[in-house]
Amino acid sequence: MYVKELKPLLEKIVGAENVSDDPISLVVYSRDYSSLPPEQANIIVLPGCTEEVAEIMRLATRTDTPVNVRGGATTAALCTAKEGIILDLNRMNKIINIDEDACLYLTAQGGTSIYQISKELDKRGFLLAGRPMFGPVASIGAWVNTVGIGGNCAKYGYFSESVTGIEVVLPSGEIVRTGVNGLQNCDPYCRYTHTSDLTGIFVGARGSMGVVTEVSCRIYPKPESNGFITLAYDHDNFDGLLKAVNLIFRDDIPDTIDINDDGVGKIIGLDLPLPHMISMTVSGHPDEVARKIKVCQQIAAETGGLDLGPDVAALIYNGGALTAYIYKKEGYGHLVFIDSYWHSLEAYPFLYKSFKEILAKYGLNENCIFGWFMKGVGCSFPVVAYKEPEQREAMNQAWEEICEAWFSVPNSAPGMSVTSPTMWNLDPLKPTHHALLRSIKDTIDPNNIMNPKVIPYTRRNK
Amino acid sequence: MSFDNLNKIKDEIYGCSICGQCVQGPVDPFRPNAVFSEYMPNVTCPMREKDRFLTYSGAGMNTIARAVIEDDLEISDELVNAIYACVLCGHCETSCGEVFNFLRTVVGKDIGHGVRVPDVVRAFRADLVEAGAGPTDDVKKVAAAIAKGHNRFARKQSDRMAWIPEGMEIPSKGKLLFYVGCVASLKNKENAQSFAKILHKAEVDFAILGEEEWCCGGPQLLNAGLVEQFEAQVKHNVEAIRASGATEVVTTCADCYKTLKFDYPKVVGDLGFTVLHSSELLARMLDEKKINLSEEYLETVTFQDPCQLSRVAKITAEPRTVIGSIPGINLVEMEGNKDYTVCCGHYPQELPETTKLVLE
Repeated sequence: MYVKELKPLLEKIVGAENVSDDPISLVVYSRDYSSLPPEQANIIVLPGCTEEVAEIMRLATRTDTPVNVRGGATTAALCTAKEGIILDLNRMNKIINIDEDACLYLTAQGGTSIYQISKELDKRGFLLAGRPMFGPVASIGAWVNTVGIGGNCAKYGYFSESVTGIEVVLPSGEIVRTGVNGLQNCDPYCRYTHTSDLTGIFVGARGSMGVVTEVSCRIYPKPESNGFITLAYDHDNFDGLLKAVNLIFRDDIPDTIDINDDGVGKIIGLDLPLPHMISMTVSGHPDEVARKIKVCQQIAAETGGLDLGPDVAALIYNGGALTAYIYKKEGYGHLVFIDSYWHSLEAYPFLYKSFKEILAKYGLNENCIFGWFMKGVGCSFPVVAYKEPEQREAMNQAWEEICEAWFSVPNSAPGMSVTSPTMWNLDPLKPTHHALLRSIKDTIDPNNIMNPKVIPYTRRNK
Repeated sequence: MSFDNLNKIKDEIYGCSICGQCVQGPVDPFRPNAVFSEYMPNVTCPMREKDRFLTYSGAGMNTIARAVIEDDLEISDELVNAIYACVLCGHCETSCGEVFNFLRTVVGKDIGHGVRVPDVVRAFRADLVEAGAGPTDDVKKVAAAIAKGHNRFARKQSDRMAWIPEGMEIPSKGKLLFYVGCVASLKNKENAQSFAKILHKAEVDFAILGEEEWCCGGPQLLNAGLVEQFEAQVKHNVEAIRASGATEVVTTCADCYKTLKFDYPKVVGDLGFTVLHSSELLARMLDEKKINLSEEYLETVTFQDPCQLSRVAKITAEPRTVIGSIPGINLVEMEGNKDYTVCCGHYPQELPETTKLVLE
């Protein structure tokens, strides 16, 4: 269906002021938080409630129109599209319920920013399971769609593990609730019931299965106090670094732990004595915080590390996304988070070395690495500053090479949120896994209208 | 179109990562915020609150600017309207630059700044004016009023003295000059009256320019891209102030203050006089014991930091000093104060819909 015919129908659903096909808005929505080339959709729609989303999806299905959902748009390539509707959820930004007196969970509309939610929880003495490090505008629905990793994940796991239920609009326009909220008589206080975990179909789906219009998740009491510590290691002591991470987890110490290199230090003029760092936040009663820090110091001594004290970690974590945002540094301007990869602890040294070598080859020397860790699982992503538009091509070539190199490492899997020039390479999936995923997708979205580039092997892309 | 002004600040435009920080608070909601502001707001961009499309945001302005530079977008009425929708409150720039502010404050490292979206918008508007595509009709009406009568309300210049309290004689020459501004002279006269009464009671001599005071030109002309017309206002006002013999100029208006103090020197160089905001002068007078407050005022009040005063001029302590000096008063802070103050929605032209939203 042509835009001319689609537009009045969409206007009827959400109001004319919430639909735009003007070239200016299409240009603005053609770009995202990455170096990838712009893609221009046909029309942008801002629904205000779940029922409007359902009507839009029914219309899209009827007219075979692709739909790309946009939350805060802090991921690359997921929020732009070369055709169809951009469904911008930012009007759906209400916190619906915070149950702080009984079951400790909240419910918010899918477009509500993590910033807004965290602020409200902070006032009440609570926090979310994690804190995204990609900027304040990240929305809770998108965070479910991209699994959700960030600060505090060492303590609480991925954000999605704290999700107790979602409301999702399927491409057919049907509204489904998951978890116990899928029963006739239950609020969304618990994810698991006597049937399969349907929430999991939508976690990490990157908008390919439906529109997440509401999220319910566990909330946690704010700890009594926090502490910071950074341990540093030399280039030739990756073994010591990895052993230290393992020992730290054995002692159940960190809320947040990540492996950084000294790229961040260099860019702000901090002269760090050793190039690799394990930076942590710890929490608890002040005595417990002191004990955890003492244990870390002992582990550093045992593994050839150097205790850098609290300042570097405090700077990184108190600065929020400091390490990433400093790449707005004058004269560089643009930054890109390269595709993140889940990986085992032992894979880290190879990932680090290949990343550095490839970027050096392309002259992209303003960079650092983030390596978030949970118990046994890492999620590393390089952050690179490059000059737009001069270094864009080099950036994208390097990006592709890094993705290919990282993909070839045992126990390294495509990660949470960021697509790449290699675009959703699903080839490595085992055939049975591939077939089941395809079958689920074909059942839910037979015409592949939802973020169609995410699972490109279904009908639309044949 | 050549877009000379935009090309001069290309680095700003390409520096935008479209991260969204310009529409949703500073980078880290988890850090104790007292470093910069006790209360950081959820709302940052007034035009985004009015029109939820990303088009109407700092990121939107930068992306449109980039598209016209790269010849991907043609100039249209819709584009002109979008570029003139920005209220130039600068909240986006502050939020964008928050991490640099953090590093400057906490680590002492100055490594950069946020994307200067207001500069991008002003440059864009200047290019649109040069090309004959701008400004919008509303702005044209205000500019025509200033060209004809030297004030933004199309009133007679002789009305500029109508605010003067009965019986008060104010000379046209003196060391301290009260630059009253269009709004306080012609619209919200109680502002000028109250300030003049305080000076009078404290026996502080001051002068006014009267009919020789022209609109400062900042919000209505410079910000609208009408650079030549703005420069004519600057030259007249500076000559008039110099002729008054003033060494200090004080104004109650945050926009006049910002324009006189920061924009005028860019046109004429050294002004030859100092520019003060009324809160600075009042704080000084309190310190010098020229004002003594003894009567209790048992009310709870708040202070809305004007964007240009707090974000641009960094005047946040003096108004609080003045309010705090009143016995019995209880000053409470709003969500969004100091650098992170939320725009009143009234700038640079009156935008009724935006103002209504902010009020809500």
